[in-house]
Amino acid sequence: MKLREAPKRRGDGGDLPEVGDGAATRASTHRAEAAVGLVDRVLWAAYRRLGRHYLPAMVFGFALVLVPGGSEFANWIHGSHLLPGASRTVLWIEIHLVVTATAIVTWLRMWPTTAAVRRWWRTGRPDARAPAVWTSLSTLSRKGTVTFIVALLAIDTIGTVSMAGALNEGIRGTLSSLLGSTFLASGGMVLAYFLIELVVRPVVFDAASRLPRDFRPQARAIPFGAKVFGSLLGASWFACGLGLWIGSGDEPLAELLAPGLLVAGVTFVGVLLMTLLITRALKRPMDDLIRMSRQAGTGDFRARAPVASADEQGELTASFNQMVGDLGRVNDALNVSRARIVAASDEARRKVERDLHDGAQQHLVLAQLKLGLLEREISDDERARKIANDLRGELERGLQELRELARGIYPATLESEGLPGALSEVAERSPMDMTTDFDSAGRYTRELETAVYFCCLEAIQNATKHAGDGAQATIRLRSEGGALRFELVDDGVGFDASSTSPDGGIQHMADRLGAVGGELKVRSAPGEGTTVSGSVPIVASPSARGGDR
Amino acid sequence: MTRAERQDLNGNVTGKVTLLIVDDHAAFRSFARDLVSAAGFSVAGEAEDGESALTAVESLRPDVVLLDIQLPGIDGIEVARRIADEPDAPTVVLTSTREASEFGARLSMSGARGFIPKGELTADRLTELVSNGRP
Repeated sequence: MKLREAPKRRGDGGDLPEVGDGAATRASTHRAEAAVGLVDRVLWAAYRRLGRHYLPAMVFGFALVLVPGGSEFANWIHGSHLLPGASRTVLWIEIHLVVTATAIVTWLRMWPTTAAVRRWWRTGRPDARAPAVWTSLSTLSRKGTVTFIVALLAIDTIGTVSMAGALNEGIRGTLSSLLGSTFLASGGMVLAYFLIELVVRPVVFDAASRLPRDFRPQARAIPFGAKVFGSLLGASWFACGLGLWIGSGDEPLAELLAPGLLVAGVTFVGVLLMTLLITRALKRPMDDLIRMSRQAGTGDFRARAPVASADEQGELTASFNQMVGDLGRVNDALNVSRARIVAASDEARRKVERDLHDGAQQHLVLAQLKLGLLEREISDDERARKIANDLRGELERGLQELRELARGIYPATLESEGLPGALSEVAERSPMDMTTDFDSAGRYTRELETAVYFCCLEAIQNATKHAGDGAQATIRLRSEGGALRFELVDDGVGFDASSTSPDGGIQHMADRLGAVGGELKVRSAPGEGTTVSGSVPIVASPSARGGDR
Repeated sequence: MTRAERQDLNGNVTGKVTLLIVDDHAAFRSFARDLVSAAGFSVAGEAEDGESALTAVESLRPDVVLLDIQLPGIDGIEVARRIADEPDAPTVVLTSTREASEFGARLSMSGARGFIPKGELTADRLTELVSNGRP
């Protein structure tokens, strides 16, 4: 097991990994577990112990440490005169009441989701409620974050107002206190965001690793700009608030309102501008990389992202460019190799077919002809004639089987007549009711004709086998837009193409077409027949073919 | 005796009809020689590939060529086409272990008199095809 393998991430808000196998895979859970280091291991251990009580316990635990810790810190800065002993006790009680209430609310909010997910894990099968469970799960992280932030703000407001009341600050003083504490709380929120992400990760990873592949994470991502803006503003306000509070010394809190508002406004505008600058500088290269990756994902490896700087970003872009280039070259080599293998296999087929005709079949035909001579010689002998007659039957059956075998290996008609002739012959021989519709009688390269022929043959054989009794089929050939397209449409029983993975035959067809740069599509639904279609780019049309026999 | 020497004043062929056998299988050539001889043809010669068939037609001037399609080098259909281009071309009968359908339209464009699958080759079929008028 790799210890530092980065977890696969998708989006930002949910931080859900790509789901592995449909079965509950402990392996992927372990990988995710190992990926995020010591803190996560501690959290995982807690998660395993606490189960569905994990999240509320975390909220309660953090709030218990952070909020009183924060207020003690503030008291330490201002000196013990800020709060008289009695008020301090009241504030302490208030804070703990709010924290307890928050934990209970969090537990209640999280409980249906975690309970449903755990029930699902226990039974091991996604039931009718599965999508609902999944939706809840994908919002789990967001839910936790929002709950935490709301709790922090609530505690902050209640604490500040009660503190200002205890000090008889008046409305202006209370507002000023609120402003100062909001500065501090906004910094707390940034902290909370990352904290919650960390805390929720074990639950989400574990859940996601157990989910079937079909249930893809639908987490809503937080845009990059919003993250930068939130972090910067939170950090700035936190620093400003702390500075104002400490700098004010023994001045009445009311005096801090005007400079506090000014600082808040200026910081807001400054952060906004910085966000735009940072986002612009970082996001454009990221967008380029995303665009290039997507293009490469579709099989087009020509795209390159501009390397605009010599820093880490530039290095990343350059290495990405190199990676995509390498991928392209490997892909090209693979395609050439695949085409070569298919061509070699087709050539071998042709050779075997020729050998059968020129070798075994020649001898059998000659034997048949000589048997004719013999039959004339022994026409008086009843018994000998009967034996010769039996022998003729055997010979004819052998020859017929040999012809069928040779035709199956490689049809001579394809060489002489091209696709329309060869496919018409297949349609005629097929036990299925089959019509042909060809608008293209042209000749193409041998590779293209062979690929299309064997794909159609496979499709026809599949239709004959699976379409059901009385089904009819039409086979079409069209030359349009620089590509040769074929289609086999049957009105048979069909199948659920969305849930059936391609079998060997279909994969073989796709491989064959892929080797000549083409692609295959299979559309089907129960009771609605099946359509197998494909298209191959036309490379060149040889003027004359078939003169090499 | 060339064809010209066996023609009467009206241009009809007299005496035995001469025949060239072209096949790359010696066993088949031997069988065909027996078959056509028994049917009253005179075997002018044998050839085992397309090139030597064309040379033999040129030098032996046979009346009929029994021509296998699958030959090393240029195939029988191409040989038939080239023979047909010659002035005073002999009658060409194509044969093969394959069925006619496998050659498609190339057969009808070859200029040959007809096609007999090897398995159905008999003296009667051959005589009938040769003695019939051009299609």
